[in-house]
Amino acid sequence: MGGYEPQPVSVRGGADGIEAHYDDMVEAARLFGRAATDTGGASLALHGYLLDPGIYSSGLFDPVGAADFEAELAAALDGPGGLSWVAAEWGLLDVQLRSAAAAYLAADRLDTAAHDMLDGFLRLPAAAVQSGETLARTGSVAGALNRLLTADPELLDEAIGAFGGVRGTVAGGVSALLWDGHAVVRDGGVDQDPEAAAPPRCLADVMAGLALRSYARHGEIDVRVLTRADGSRAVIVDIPGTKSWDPLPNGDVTSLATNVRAVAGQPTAYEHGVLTAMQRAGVTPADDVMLVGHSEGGMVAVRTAIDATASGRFHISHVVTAGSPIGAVAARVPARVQVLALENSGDLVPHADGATNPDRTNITTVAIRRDHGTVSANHDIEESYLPGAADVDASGDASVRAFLGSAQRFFDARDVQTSRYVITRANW
Amino acid sequence: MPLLYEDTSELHAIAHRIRRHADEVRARAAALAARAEQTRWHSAGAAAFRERARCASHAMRTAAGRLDDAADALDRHANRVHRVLAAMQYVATAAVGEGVQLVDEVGDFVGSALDCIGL
Repeated sequence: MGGYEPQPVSVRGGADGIEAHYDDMVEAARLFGRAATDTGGASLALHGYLLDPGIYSSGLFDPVGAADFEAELAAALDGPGGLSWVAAEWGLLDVQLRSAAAAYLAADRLDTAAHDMLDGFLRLPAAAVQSGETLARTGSVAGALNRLLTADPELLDEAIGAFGGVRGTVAGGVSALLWDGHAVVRDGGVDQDPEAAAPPRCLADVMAGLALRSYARHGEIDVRVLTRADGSRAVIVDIPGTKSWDPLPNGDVTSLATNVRAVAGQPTAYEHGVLTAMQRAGVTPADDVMLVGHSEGGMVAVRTAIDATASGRFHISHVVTAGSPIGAVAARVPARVQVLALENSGDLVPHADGATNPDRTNITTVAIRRDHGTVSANHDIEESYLPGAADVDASGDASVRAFLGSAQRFFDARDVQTSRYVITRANW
Repeated sequence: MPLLYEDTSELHAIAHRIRRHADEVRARAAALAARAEQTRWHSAGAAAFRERARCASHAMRTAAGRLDDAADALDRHANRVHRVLAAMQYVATAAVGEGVQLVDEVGDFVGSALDCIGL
């Protein structure tokens, strides 16, 4: 990349972010609440011995011994850090944990809505000015609209939200109409391209591999088996994005049907094809796998990670998405899968689900700044996400460094074999 | 609760019950501390919460230790009471024995005296 100038990135979530699993917090709080009740009950029962007349009367025969016992028991129950205090403390911890869980839940809901709304409306005046300038300069309404959307992509979140979101009635109805059939996978042989034969050394190299596959045939993916110096293996799977916008039934898994189903978090023939290709490439549950997807491919990657982890079929340790709307499904990604979501700030597509990515320790969302002024260029892997990946490599952000550090085993291979597979949709 | 236990075994039984409570408190402290560490919440607030939970768990173990101390004190007290009661019983038994012998001797003496005066 000649003349490359690193651009700053904004990061949300990741290792430096907040992790709060509401259900787990409430479950723990319940346990603490029960402990407070049980410990308080025990303390009450033991207080009975302080007032026991039998023990008092036995003091007639050993007053010092009886007083000693009473003092020890009173200290255990009511002294500093005694059982009564402990019961109250666990009760307070119960309340604290429940309150925190409720606050996080409310904040997450508010944050997603407010983030989109505020960003959308704050950027609207500047976007309108830029759009007006474009119209005045070129006289093109399409160009002005292009400028408006790329300058304020969060408007799309608002528009989708107004229609009930991607899981609303409209989206559900549309996805039901787009029949997905089932996947057929053909072997495409080993890729001898020098770029495909070079092991990646950084995120930009990983993105370059995805870009290479994105310019191949419709439905072509690849499985890169990396072999390290100690003989251990790691696997990268490249999943390109949409190549056909044909809304009619067709055999191309990279067409509209996959988009609509994937954005709503439904399984797709594309996903099943990816899993079959991995199996044919000899990937085993012992191999660490990184799924890399652009646009629609990123949605498929996330859904594949969720399903493969649930079934135990493969060990998906990392997912990298570029320009993918994964906000509606990312919260379902298991905590042991690390997700890095690259979103160009002028790219409309990541907003196609009307949902902001959740702030989780395993989900790092990086906003890159590669604005070219058009919807297509801002979403393009070569023009935007390839330099954006280099921006991420150059970033010193703690969450980004933690992600790249955890993915080191994908960056230090001795050699790589890249096998191609072509996925098509049958019975459509 | 009786005003006076018939023997000190009841005091030892109470000490045993206190120790059982102590064991339960200790086990609960360990379980709660582990659960607090495993709670899937990570933030500055979570770190403060865990520290507080650690303190509460530590206090529980300390309180359990104090309950053990109280139980030990009660056992010691029961042993002392037992020794005092045994000593009192011995003295009482001895006193009664001496009394009976004295009465016998007085009886003998009175009988002899009456014989002497021909009554």
